[in-house]
Amino acid sequence: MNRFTHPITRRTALRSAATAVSLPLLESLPASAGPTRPHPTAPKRVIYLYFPNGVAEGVWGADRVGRDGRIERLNKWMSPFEPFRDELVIARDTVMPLGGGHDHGASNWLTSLGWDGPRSRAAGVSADQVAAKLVGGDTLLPSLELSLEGEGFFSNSLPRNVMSWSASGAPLPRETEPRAVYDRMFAPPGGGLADRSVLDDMLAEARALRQTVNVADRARVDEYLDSIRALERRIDFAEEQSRATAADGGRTDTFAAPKPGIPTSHGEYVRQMLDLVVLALKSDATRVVSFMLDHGQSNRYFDFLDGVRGTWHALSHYRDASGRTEDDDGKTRWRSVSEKRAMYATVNRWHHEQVAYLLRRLKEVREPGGKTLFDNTLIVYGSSLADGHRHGDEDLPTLVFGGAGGPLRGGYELRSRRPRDLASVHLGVLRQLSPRVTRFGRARTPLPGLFD
Amino acid sequence: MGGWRRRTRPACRRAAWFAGWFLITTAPAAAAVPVVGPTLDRYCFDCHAGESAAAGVDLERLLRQTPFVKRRDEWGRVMRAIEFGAMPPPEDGPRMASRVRDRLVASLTSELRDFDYTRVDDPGFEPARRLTKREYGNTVRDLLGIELDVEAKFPRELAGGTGFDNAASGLSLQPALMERYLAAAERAIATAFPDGGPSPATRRAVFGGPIPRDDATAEAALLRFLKRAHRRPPAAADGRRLLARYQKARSAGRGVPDAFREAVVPVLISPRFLVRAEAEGRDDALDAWSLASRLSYFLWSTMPDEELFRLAESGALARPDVLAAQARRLLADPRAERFAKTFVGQWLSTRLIGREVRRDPIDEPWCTDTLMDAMRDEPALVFLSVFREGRPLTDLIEADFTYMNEELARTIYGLRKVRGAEMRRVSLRGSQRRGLVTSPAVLAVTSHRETTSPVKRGAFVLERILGTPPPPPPPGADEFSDQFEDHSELSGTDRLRRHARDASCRSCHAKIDPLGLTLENYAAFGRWRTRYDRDRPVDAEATLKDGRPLDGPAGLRGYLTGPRRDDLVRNVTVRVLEYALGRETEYFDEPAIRDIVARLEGDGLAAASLIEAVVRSRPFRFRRAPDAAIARLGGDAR
Repeated sequence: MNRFTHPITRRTALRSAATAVSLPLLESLPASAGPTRPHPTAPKRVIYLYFPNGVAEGVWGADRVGRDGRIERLNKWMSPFEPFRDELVIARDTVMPLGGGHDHGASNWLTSLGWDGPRSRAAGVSADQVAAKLVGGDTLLPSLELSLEGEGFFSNSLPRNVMSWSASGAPLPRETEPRAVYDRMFAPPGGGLADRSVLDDMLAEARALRQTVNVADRARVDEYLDSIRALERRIDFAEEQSRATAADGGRTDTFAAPKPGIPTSHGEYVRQMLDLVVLALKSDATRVVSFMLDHGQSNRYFDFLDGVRGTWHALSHYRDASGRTEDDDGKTRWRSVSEKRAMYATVNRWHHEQVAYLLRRLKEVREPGGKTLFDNTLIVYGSSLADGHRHGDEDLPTLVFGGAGGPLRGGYELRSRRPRDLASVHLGVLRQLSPRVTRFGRARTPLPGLFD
Repeated sequence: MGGWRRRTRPACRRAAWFAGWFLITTAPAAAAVPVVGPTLDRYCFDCHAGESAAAGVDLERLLRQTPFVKRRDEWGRVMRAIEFGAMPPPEDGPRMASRVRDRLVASLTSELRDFDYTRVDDPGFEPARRLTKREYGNTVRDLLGIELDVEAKFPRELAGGTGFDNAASGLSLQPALMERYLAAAERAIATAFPDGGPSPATRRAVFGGPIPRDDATAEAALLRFLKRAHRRPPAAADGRRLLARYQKARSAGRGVPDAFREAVVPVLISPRFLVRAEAEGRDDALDAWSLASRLSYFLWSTMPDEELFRLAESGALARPDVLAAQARRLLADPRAERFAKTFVGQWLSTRLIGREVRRDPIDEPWCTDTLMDAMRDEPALVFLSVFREGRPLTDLIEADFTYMNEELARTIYGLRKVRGAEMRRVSLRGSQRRGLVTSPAVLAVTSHRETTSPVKRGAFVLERILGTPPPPPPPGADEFSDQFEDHSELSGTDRLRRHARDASCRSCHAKIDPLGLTLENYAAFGRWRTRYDRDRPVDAEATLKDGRPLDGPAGLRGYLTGPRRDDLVRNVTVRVLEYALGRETEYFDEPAIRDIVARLEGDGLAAASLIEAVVRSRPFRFRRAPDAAIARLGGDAR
């Protein structure tokens, strides 16, 4: 059975109706956006990769561009992306007009609608959740939210640790343990899961509850209904996986289940998570992934990198090399601003290397029509801060990757005299998933030049 | 954020603003506008007006939104920036005479303070919320009478604006959680009903008597279980479905205990169990069942017990005096330790001890898990004693006792007389320490990894203890290092001296640093010291901006419980109320806050009466989902 075609069953139909119910959240979509049609070709996918603490001035972008904006050489700190130079667009001069930075920059990065401080929530639905409604369809996980186990202060801070919002007041929790991610896709369903009648009971209870509660409380009950339906999809997926595994001799066995717990080596940890991203997309467990490469004000140590000392956030305040600011650990010393800046940039480059690893892995996966998984995926990589020291929010680091021959107009650095709302990048990407999307955040037009 | 971008604005526009003000506004203008408007226009509008206002602070817009109390948080930040002297920027902003500054702050203060709050009638609204990770674990354990860490694999709970992770607005249900609930439910039921039959604790909790042997008793027990799980009488249909599951298992040949077990697993993932959905009558009053849960999750982080259920059943719990009496009972119960630990751990960030705040145990073997646990528990136990023993709220600052075990006593306090691993009460008389602020946990979370930071400690006292956070440092505040040839020469005290010298630093730091300096005798993990090293003695004497001397920890205490006493009392009140409600307080809560503080004052500041006054308060007992709340859920940005 082609894994991209699903017969329309009673359940699918029920679910479609359900999807339509929750759609008013997404004002930009017409009500007909709902069930996934059988895919003649591989589906479109999207990945959002966030990194905190920004980049120092001068370590981002192209060093040399042709007259038409074509990139001739990337900045040396971006060398890991040289092999992908023709498959990326650097969107310069992007801003988050309603707030970037550390504290709620992460929460706002994918919504671009601002932050409601007193109620601790984003003011809208995040781009990945819109994407999930567009292409998530019948997949096991309409979207997959990943992060890395927090280190340092702020590990419990909501605005710094949340990036995905299924509704304004509904932050999505993020998986941080590789094994938990794997289990959500491939672990055999538990005893209770096997019994659909139990889930039917729960749906009935929730519908009854929905009738009795306050109108304002119904949103919470709707979340419950969605969650139960997610359990149903889990059963469907498990059944399909076991059929597929029987048919082709252990398709999922090529990837061993990760060990429980958080790997002690940070490099190993990130690679495992990225491997899981590839696995999730390849198996069509999901089509939308968002991954925070750390929380919005990460104080992680990168001592494992040659010549790097101090925490990430301290390094980002590179213009002060005294080692005595409130951001420092009181222990690490630097000789000069330039030394500290180089360490800050080294941490950035290390993350670029991890992203490049993901891109290579995506290219290894063959898909129908002579394409690769990379060709069918759009990847947005960026931060809610520009220069970390100034807490700058102008010219945010924003990169979009996409396969050759795809819609992305790869190989260019886009500059603009006027700052461009980051939402226009999100809108551009979402429109590639569905042209029915006409606006996102405050953006009404996609960033010009991003797509052909 | 954006930094200080100075823009020039045509004078005509400026004039137009003020002329237009009276034409545009339809709401009654705030009394302060005539004073505040022109002053802000003159000193602030160059940067803080219009679409691209610096740091997103548009004072022109703010002025139009009357009454000012509706934006009291924003005005609060504005006032602090002006009061601390952070704005207008000392080095390149217009110079604001202190007379102007004082008058401006005074006008704004009285505008917010003297607003006629009797016009406001809104108990506030907390949307239905799921149980937090901690609440879920406790509830499952109490429901089933088991000891099992069911929530270990749940995602970390995050805290937003209140600083507490029980804020209702963020407690949404998501598929990733549902799978955890299901796995946890199966593990919990398997633990409660092992093949050998349930333990006495489970029998007591689930059946309240002997294990059912026949269908009639089993079915009665199922309905009893459902009522406890839903924390209110179950809907008839929910009961029917539960019994149907039981009968189905029976007809498939299962014995009574097995069928019972199978039927109850789904109860632990049912919406009524996972979600605290409250019910209010037409007058916004929460029903007694909702109040029972509010009370038990506030003070115990778990489901109501039998007595609360009985009082909910009879409806008596709707009476404020009964509610207050129950609050007293719950506070005296050992489970109230959960409230103390959760509240203090998040209010003072001491929950970070052992995880985010700790030394590498390989380099520094004294930094053990058990020591971290003891440090974390200490301030919570002091807090609980103050609330339980009829002590005044100011004892949070002045209590002359604390709790420690042998390891904490030896390692941090340098005391040899305390024996054993149990935390026990120890007198602090004869030492400089008192109350929460000098507990090693607080001293550690306000330090750098290896050194102390008077700035962090001062800012902590202002923000967490007094509820008057200093304005954030201006962008680029720390760009001074290139003035020094060898950066390592710039010691902590040098830096403080520079704060005193440099105008742009001094304005704020003169109000922050002295508070932290009084605690310099406590090293990064709270050990007492009299010298930094051989040559440098510690100097913990400081002087406040207004010339008031603060000598060491006693000086700080005198300041907190003297001139700042009202701020202290109000701040603890607001924090406890926000924790109890699971939301941030807003301007319409002001009457309730004032009422609670008045009750406290009338009761000699007895801490216990704070808890009673909170549960008696209108926002605790009422809830209103007006159209506004529905619109809010739709996502309007304030």
